[in-house]
Amino acid sequence: MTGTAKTLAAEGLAFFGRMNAAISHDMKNVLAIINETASLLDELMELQQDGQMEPNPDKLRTLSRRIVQQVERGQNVITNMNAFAHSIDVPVREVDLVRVMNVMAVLSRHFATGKTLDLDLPNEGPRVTTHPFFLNDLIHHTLNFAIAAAGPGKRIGVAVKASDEGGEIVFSGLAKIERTFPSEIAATLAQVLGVEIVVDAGLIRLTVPAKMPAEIELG
Amino acid sequence: MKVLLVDDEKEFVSALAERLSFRGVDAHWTASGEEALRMAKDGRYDLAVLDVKMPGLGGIELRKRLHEMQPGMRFIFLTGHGSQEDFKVGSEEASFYLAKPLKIEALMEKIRETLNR
Repeated sequence: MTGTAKTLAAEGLAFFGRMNAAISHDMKNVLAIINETASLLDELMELQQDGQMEPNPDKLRTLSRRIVQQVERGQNVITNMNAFAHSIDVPVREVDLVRVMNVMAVLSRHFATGKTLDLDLPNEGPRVTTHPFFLNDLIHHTLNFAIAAAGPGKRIGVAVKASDEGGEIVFSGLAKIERTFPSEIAATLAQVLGVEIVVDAGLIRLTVPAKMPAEIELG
Repeated sequence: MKVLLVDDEKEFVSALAERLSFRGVDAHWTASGEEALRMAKDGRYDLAVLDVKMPGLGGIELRKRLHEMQPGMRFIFLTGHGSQEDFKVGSEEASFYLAKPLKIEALMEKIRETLNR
């Protein structure tokens, strides 16, 4: 295995671990809300049935709807987790950059505590042939950096559009960037994928080629 | 006993506060660490139940600041992680941790245990 392949193998495992931890944390929160709300519903119904509390059907309805909303939230996380898990099925294939960005935005919410992602995504995005798993990883590194560098408004803009080279993902709303980007691992991922990274005036632009370089052996 | 509950998941913490109130706990809640500091400025609490990971002011830092304001306040941490890092918070003086989702009886027991320490 080449040095690059070894680096990517280790990084791939680490990335998978980080995302699994984030997804499980989100699901625990969903289950905690469902557990607490269902238990409260149960206790309120008992108190109201026993005459210890005035009947309040509106409140009971609100709580039951809250459970349904959390189930939908959990379903959304799981759907995107599934898409992420399958990103490794076929090493190199054609993907829609908007769909890729949508999945990573949902799964990266865990890391965006205190910040808001403003997604500017068309219904369909530019299609590129790339390594989806490592593109997810590069996006994750970029998003984490953007989150840490978010300006006073704490809002990060994320846009996807077509370009002459293939497609662009632009992260904007960054304040003064004090750390350097890309990191070593992000640079390696970008090199393997053929992605050009531009850091400029409050934004980071990833230009994803229509077809990733074929000459690098991933192992 | 007067308890302050802090968790950024509003639906979770409000439901938990209500269930604790059915059990005789004077439970106050907020979804923000910054708001928790304001509440602690206005009233004394016997114990705070804090989510570890919150946007803005997180649980660990919040505990330090609340402890400075009210040295007698005890703490219980709630975590959704289950990692070794989270277990470490349980070693802080006068602190316990519980994993989410939690059983109310387990929380009541931890509250009694913490206040009796």
